[in-house]
Amino acid sequence: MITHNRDLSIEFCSIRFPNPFLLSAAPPTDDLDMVRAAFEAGWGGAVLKTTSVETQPVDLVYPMMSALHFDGQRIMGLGNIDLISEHHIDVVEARARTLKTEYPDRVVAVSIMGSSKQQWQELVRRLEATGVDFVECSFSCPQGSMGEEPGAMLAQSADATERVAGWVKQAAARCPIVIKITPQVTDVVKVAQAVKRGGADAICAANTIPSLMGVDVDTFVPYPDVQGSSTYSGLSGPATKPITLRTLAEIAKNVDLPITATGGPVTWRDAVEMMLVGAGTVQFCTAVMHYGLDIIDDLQDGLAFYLDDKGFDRPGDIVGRALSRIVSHDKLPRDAKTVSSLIEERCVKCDLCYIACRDGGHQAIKIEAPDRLPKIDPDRCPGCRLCVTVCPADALTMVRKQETPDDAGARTPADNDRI
Amino acid sequence: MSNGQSDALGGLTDTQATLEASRCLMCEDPPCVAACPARVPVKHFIRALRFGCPRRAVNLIRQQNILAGVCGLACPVEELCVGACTGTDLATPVAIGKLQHYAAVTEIRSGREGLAGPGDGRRVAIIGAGPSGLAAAAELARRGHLPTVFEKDRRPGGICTYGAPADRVPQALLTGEIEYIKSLGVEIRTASPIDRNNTIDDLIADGYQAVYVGTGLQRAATPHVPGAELEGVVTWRQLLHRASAFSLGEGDKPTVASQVIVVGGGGVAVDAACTALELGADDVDVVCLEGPHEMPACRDEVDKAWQTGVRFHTRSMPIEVTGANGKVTGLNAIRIRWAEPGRFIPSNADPIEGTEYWLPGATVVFAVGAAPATELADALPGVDVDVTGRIIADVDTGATSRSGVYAGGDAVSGGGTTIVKAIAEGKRAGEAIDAHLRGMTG
Ligand SMILES: Cc1cc2nc3c(=O)[nH]c(=O)nc-3n(C[C@H](O)[C@H](O)[C@H](O)COP(=O)(O)OP(=O)(O)OC[C@H]3O[C@@H](n4cnc5c(N)ncnc54)[C@H](O)[C@@H]3O)c2cc1C
Ligand SMILES: Cc1cc2nc3c(=O)[nH]c(=O)nc-3n(C[C@H](O)[C@H](O)[C@H](O)COP(=O)(O)O)c2cc1C
Ligand code: SF4
Repeated sequence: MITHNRDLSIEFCSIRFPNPFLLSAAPPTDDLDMVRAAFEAGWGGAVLKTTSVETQPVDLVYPMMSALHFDGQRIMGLGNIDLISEHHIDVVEARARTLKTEYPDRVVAVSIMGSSKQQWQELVRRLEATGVDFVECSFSCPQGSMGEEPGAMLAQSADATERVAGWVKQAAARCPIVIKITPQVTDVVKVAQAVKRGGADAICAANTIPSLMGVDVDTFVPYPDVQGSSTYSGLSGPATKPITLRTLAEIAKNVDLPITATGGPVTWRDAVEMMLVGAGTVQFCTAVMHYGLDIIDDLQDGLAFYLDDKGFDRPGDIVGRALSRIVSHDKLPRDAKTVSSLIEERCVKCDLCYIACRDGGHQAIKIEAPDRLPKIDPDRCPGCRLCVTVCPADALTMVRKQETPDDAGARTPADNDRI
Repeated sequence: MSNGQSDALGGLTDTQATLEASRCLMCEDPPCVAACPARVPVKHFIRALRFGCPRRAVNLIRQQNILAGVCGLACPVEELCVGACTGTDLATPVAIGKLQHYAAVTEIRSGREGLAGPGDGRRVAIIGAGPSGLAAAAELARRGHLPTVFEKDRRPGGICTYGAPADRVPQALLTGEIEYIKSLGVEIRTASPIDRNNTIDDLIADGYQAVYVGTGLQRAATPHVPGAELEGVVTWRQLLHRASAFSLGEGDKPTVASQVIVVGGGGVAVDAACTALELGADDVDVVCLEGPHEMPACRDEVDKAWQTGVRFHTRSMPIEVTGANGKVTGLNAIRIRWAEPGRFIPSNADPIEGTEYWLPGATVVFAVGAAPATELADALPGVDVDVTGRIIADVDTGATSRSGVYAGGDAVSGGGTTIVKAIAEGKRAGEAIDAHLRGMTG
């Protein structure tokens, strides 16, 4: 159930989305009833899981999932060795048609992958005829590609990206073409420029990150263990959010193309962050696989109340607002000095700041009898902010030298780092 | 700073709430929701907190329970949501009540107001501004109607204002929640009793198209023991109503003797015992039929009372209030066993010969139940009541024998229940009244 009554619609590539949140191409969109359930739940759109021509063999392996848990929290990251959908274009065409008929107000897109010019173009043409709103091209499946060099992803080559994007665009009479890239490149801007030169309409950034999820130290088999063997996984989920944000920012700052974000979002705040660095819409996968489809209610309410609180009219008004704040390291201001400062009534005396500063900082914190409160020596503290990040009680904050936490509270109400 | 919560609303800090919320397993079909009489969507409100949207959290709670913060503190959560938490099997249950209170006070601090629902605005009279009347009024306002609450006392809140101990239901919190209810478009008229001179016939003649009766219990029971008429015998209602009124700056401090005896084993008896201590009694003895593990009072409250020095005399029955010169001197009681195991009612109590004992005390408080005021029936022509004066109403809708008149809360149940249950009944009646009004033409 949503508890706001605000219009959250947004335009992206001239398509009207009832809200900026859609399901990415993944298991939640690999079944007609699951997508119906998603639309009933309130998702603005869905990209049906990557499909291919009928002759393309898809040889799945199970088990395919493993996860990065950290310190008692489950699924910081999810690893998968899934491939594209087992359902070929004939099945997906029919699904797209059905969904577009049943849910004309929702955005229905399909992800495709081909292994030749002829295949890419056939896929696009057949899908266009179904009435889909856009076609997303997977240039980044980490588990085997159909690009030029076997094993490499298409989007790891700027030339291949430009060429294939061109083929697809050439075949598309009406549909916007979105290219889904990988963050696993030396310079994502070069790839994004290639997408643009190829004539595509938007970019989807980015796909999962090639990873080795862990190793069973008893059996020496990495995860996931497929009868004694393993392989590299694609990493998704919250752990990847900072990589996504950086990828989005780099593209948005350098290439004039609409971006649909994927990689790591769970909450409305994650989505808003992605929009602030340039995403027009935000795709979700791992969060839905973990918590269920109804997180769309949390996302919609969260965004609506954020827009209320900030006084923005529409979701589109926030896109890109953080970009001008990202500068190269040499352009960062160096004049005003900040130091760590304690909010006494919050301190629980765990000494974690002391340990961190002693062994990873500048020995600026002392714990002394009788009150055992951390005392920060502003002359030793260069303001690295390590202590703020470790404090479990949100009891440390950065202040301009000579300021008290109360002055700083008035200036930056939520400075404390909850990450 | 928002994190160190030191105002009158109190509660968890942001950091504490974040940590606690992160322990919720967020299971499908959560048992905590099934265990809540008001069906607060616990999983979803905790997830909203966890995913950084307290405003959504409180909206979700208030849809089901308009006194979100009060109930977060005052609900016997161990017997309700917390008692059902799946997390218990893994570690310890999630502190659902504290999180609910946190969500509510976070929103109250924001000062944000509610919105009346769209609708054709039928006028509805609500009698009694206790939890159940307020819940019915809020539900009707949300559904676009114009509820007016008539309250005989000087302040709204019912037992939450005049009765429940102030540390359990802080006035700042209750006031904040009532302000929100008003902001939905609910009008509350205090010092406005509905009685034989101003009956529901008059209300309907004034243009009210439906009535909800949430008048609670005004007449505390006194057992038939000799000496009950002596000076120094009071009911829980007299004691607690006056104690609350005094703490609200209305009226004098009620006086109690240095030795006080409370008769009863429910939560009200325990509250009366603690209140007597707070009012200056040196010794408080509680005499009750039930054994220590049979008392209907919530375990936590009994433990707290015991720690503050209240003495419990369990499996005991009062025989006579003793007196001299018309004034109470103490209580004669006798130990009992249950004639039939497991049925904790007076008629099943079997006195054990030779176990009589006497407790000294110049104040005796009876906390053995209550009933609606006898005069209430005069104000409600056409509404059937049972022999004890309780209003007879449909369990699902609150509909009474008179069309367009609904009832709920303690006035129907006869007490021994909870705030949240009274709220659930008020809300359900609000829904039924809305359906009734929509079915009416003109
Ligand atoms: C001492 C005590 C402590 C309690 N503690 C708890 C607790 O901690 N947690 C919990 O969940 N439950 C507790 N309860 C139970 C809970 O308070 C009640 O179940 C609940 O308040 C019932 O709500 P109600 O709206 O039906 O009645 P009430 O709260 O009694 O409200 C009825 C209202 O109607 C008004 N009224 C009556 N007659 C008229 C009239 N003729 N005209 C106009 N107005 C009228 C009254 O003045 C009153 O304001 C406690 C009860 C008592 C007695
Ligand atoms: C099991 C699984 C299968 C996926 N299959 C596809 C796919 O077929 N095509 C595709 O473009 N992306 C696929 N993805 C990637 C997701 O669409 C998404 O981009 C990625 O998981 C990052 O987003 P997240 O952190 O929200 O999960 C898959 C992801 C998972 C976890
Ligand atoms: S998630 Fe469902 S499909 Fe996957 S292994 Fe478990 S039971 Fe089987």
